[in-house]
Amino acid sequence: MSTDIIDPPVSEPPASAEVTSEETLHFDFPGSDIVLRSSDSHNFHVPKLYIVNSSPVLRELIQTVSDTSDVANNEEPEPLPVVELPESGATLHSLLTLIFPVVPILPSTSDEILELLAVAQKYQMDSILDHIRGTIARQHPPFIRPETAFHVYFLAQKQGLHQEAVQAARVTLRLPMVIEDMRDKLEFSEMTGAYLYELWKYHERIRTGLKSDLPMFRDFDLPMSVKNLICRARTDNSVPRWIDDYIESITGAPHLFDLVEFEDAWARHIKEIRKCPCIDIPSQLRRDFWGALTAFVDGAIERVREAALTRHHRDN
Amino acid sequence: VKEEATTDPPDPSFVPLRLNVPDASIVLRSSDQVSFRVHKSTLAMSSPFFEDLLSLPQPPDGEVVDGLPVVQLSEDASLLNCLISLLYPIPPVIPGSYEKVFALLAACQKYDMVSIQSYIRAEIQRGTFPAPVGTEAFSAYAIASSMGLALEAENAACLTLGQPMTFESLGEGLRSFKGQALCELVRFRGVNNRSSSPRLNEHW
Repeated sequence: MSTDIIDPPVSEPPASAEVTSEETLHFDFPGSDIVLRSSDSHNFHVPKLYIVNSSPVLRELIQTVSDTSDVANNEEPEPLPVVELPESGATLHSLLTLIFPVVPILPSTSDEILELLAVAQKYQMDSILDHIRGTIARQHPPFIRPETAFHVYFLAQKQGLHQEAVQAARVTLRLPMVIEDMRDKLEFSEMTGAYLYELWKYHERIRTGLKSDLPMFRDFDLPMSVKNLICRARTDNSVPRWIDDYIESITGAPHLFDLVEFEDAWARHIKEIRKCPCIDIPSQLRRDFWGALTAFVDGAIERVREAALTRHHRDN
Repeated sequence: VKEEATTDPPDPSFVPLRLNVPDASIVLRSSDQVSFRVHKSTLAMSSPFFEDLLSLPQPPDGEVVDGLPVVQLSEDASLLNCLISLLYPIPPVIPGSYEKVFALLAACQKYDMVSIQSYIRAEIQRGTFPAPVGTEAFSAYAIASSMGLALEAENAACLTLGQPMTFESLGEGLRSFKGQALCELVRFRGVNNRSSSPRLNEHW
């Protein structure tokens, strides 16, 4: 026998409710012994065992409700305890598909996905958080990409989702941070000066890290093949000047760490210094250089991430 | 007018009023628990807000000091000191910074003190009251926006024209921008910096 775990709403949902259709919020699950009621009055009949095992917060809440529920008389069926939750029916429905052994349904928009993560975080559903994060990590196109990074960053900050905020901040490193050119990236209701300032400080820490690692990179980590390149304009360390300038430019503007930017710098050099042997750089040497540069940039980002994580754990 | 201060006034602009009001009819109490004895009629004349408030019967459990009703306000003593000095024919207590002037204007807006607000704006234009200068315009815009002071926000926005708006120049002041204020400033500058005849700051 199967039991509906959701009833129709006890009252009309508001016209703007995110619950788009009753069908999408409808699935069966046996053995229900509690009702979770959403803020828009959708009732989800569920076996509480699943819920209490998923969330220590809900376990406590359910315990409180169970203790205070009316005792049924013998002539009527015993009413199920009702737990009122502040989340919408759509969010609760998604959450339940991740708790129960059914096909998980993730919301379609960034706002809704981050709200779901925030709810899972609020109810201390660690395994559900991992489940959601694992699912969105497999999304294609990626959940956080340059076009969405600022929006996800501001949303994640608002929702208190540190991990997503850091991930999105990292993706913003691929974009120039020129405030007057960022209008379209700032036009989100979640954007505040404080969040943007935090993002700017993050970029500043990355730039500081890159600048401090640069001498070591030049001396030890830059492949010998790059140092041995024959070029008509070289630095004191015998590195082609244009390559050194390009590396240094990344420490001031990390978004320049990009193959197209590198090739632009190369093309400018060839144009400026005619007949320079740099016109013919073997592809393997370019790959080696790019690999070393990637390790240099990633190293700085990783150290900042670890420091931020330490601060976050200390402050929370 | 000022009766008692529970803490040392840290603000150099905080000059105690020397107005003798023997026939005061109400006590205004600041958020930091300083009491100011003033006239109901003066308050009511300059503020429709207080006029309405004072026309209501005193609540039975309302606090009374020396027979005078007490009205608790959310402004601090420094601000009330300035505000009350503007209600009486005495030299005004001038706020020490443009931020405090904005807070004073915001209080006037809240209490519907239109003529006092106009007087303060005129004094800003005359240079008697402090106004933002240079790169302070960015913070001034953020603060004015957050306080709902449309005129001051617009003036500050005009003042920012011709100055670079960068993360470096904004610094920690970036934190003061609430809601869409930052976007609106970027949009305003985008339109006016490109304009062949940019709007000039008429007030500051």
